[in-house]
Formats: sequence, C-alpha cells, structure tokens
Amino acid sequence: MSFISRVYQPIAYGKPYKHTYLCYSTKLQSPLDQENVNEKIRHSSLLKVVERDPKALTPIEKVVRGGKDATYSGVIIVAFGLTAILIWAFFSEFFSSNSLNSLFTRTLKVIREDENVRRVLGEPIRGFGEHTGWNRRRHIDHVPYKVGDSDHMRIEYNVRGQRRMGRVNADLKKDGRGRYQIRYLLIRLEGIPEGTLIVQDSR
Amino acid sequence: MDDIESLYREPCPWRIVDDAGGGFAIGAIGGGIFSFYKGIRFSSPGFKSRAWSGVQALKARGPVYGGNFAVWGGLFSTMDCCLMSLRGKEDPWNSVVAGATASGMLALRTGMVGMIGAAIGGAIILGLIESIPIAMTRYQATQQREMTFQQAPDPSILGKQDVSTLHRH
Repeated sequence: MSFISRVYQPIAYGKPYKHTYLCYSTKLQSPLDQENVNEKIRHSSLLKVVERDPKALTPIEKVVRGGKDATYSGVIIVAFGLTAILIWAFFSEFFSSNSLNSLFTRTLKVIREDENVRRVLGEPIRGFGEHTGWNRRRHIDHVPYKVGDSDHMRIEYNVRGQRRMGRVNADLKKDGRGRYQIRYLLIRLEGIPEGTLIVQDSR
Repeated sequence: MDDIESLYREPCPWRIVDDAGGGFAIGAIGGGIFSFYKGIRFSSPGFKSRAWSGVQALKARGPVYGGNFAVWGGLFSTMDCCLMSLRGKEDPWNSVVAGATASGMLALRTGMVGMIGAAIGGAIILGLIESIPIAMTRYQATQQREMTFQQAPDPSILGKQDVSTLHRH
C-alpha cells in the first residue's frame, strides 16, 4: 500500500496546472524539435494565464470582494452599535436612581412600610405594572412632563395585597440635585367599598 | 387598564405552561427550518434526494430543538415566578436572575465552572432581551419630554394645592 501511494502521490496531489498544460501542448503539436516547442509555449499568452498567481484578483473580483467586505463590516458595526445601545439602556435603567424601575421600587417600598396600607390591603403586598405580551406585567404607565424648568413624572401601577388590590398614583418631581422626590403618593382601591389611601402628600 | 379581567388574573402558575409551550413552538419552527436547510445542504445532489433528505432531517431534529426550548422556557418561567413571589414585585431583575438560574441549572452536569459560565451567559442574554423594551421606552420618554406638557390637575381628593409651594420644590 505504501509503495502504491508513493508512486501515485505526485500525480494525484502534486500536479500544478502549468505542468498539465505543457504535457498537453507537446502532445498536440507533435514536435519536431522539443526546444522549439518550449520556446513557443514560453511566449504564448496562455502560459501567462496558467502561471498567474492564484491569489491575485481581477478588477471585477476586487470590486466584488470590496463590496462584500464593506457589507460585512457594516453589519458588524451596526450590530456592535445596537449592542452598545442595549447595554447602555440596561445599565442606565438598573443602576440609576432616576430610572422608571427605581422609581417603582422606591414608591413600592414607601407603600409597603405604611401601616395603614398594610392594614387595608393585607400583607404581603405585591407590585406590578400593565400586562404586556407573554403574560408579563412589567410595563409601568408613566408620563414625564415639565412645569417651568423642573421635570415631573407621573407613574401608575398596581398593588395587590392579601385582601384587596389597588392602583398606585404617584407624582414625582426633580429636586435641586436632579433626583426625583415624591410629591404625592396615593392608592385608589379597586372594588367595593371604594376608597383612596393617601400614603404621602408632600406638595 | 384596558382589560379589567387581566388585572384580577394572576398569571403566575399558568405562565409556566404557556412559556414551555411558546418555547416549544419557537424551537420547533426555528429548529425545523434550520434542520431542513441542513438536510438539503448535506444531501446527495438531485432535487428529489435533497427534498427527501431535508424532510427527514426536519422530522428527526425539529422536535428535539422544540423540546430543548420548551425545557428552557419552562425552567426560566418557573424561576421567574418564584422570584416574583419572593420579591413581591415584577421587574426586569426577575428575568435576568431567572435566566441565569435556568441556564445554570441546565448546565448542572458540566460541573461548577461550567454552571457559572452558563449562568453568566444566560444573564447577559436575558439582560439584552430585557433592555430592548427599556431602550424603546426611554426613547419614547425623551421624545415625550421634549413636548412641554401642561401639568395635569392633581387628584381632587388631596385637596386644593397651595399655589405658593408649587414652584418652590
């Protein structure tokens, strides 16, 4: 086996185009003079084609490759940009005290610590937003607005206790240091009897 | 609050089944398309043979992908519900932590290091997914803030507001 492969390997694997071409042309021309034939081949244009560097590109191929490279790098850059935006959104939402999520957390904490609310709603008190797709209740209704130069925000979400549930209305205003402070915080109770619990009113 | 029914319905135990089913649908459809393509790609030439091979691959692999996704979705949703119940609120942190726990649990057999790696990967993916609505909401909020709103009246139950304190805060 090793003998056979040693014999056939150069033919099977190590045969460049140039060599093929030479064999072919010598056969065709039925040469009288081998040197003459070789001379002819050396000056023919075909030989140049055969001998050209396989890595070199024609202008059309260059254009095609350039277009491909530009498209791919564009896609990669856009993807990186989108990922960066998402990462920025993530960090600014979760590690900032003025984000919607932290306003939700802060107001819910105030509500949970209120004795009256705990008595009326019943513990444990759970907070959640609006229904969105896939049975998630994450969306918190909010309206940012301005009075003069100061930023305000109104948020609404739901709370549910052991006994009753209600809808939280909160108005927040940015103080001098740019941090939202609660202006008022109240819970409108759902169901009967109707009622409103005023948790905080610091207007 | 357009749908009053949905407010009273607790989503949580049933959501696990929903998510497992949704995961199966996504996995079966996406994985089916993927394996159909793979079957076509790696078959012997000829239209008939390629089509047959694609269908065979789809039949063999599509439901498997569906099952994998269903397991992931069910586990993730279970974790999400547990966290919601424990923390008493629904927010994106639940998802992120649930994603980390779910993928960590699925990598249980690879050992501690593999589990931690899978958990971090799951957390990153879920964090990115959760960031999409956040980014959209923030973009809308910035656009909304540009328009100066008239202050809506405060709820009347709070009583008349002392006008002198309005701009002082």
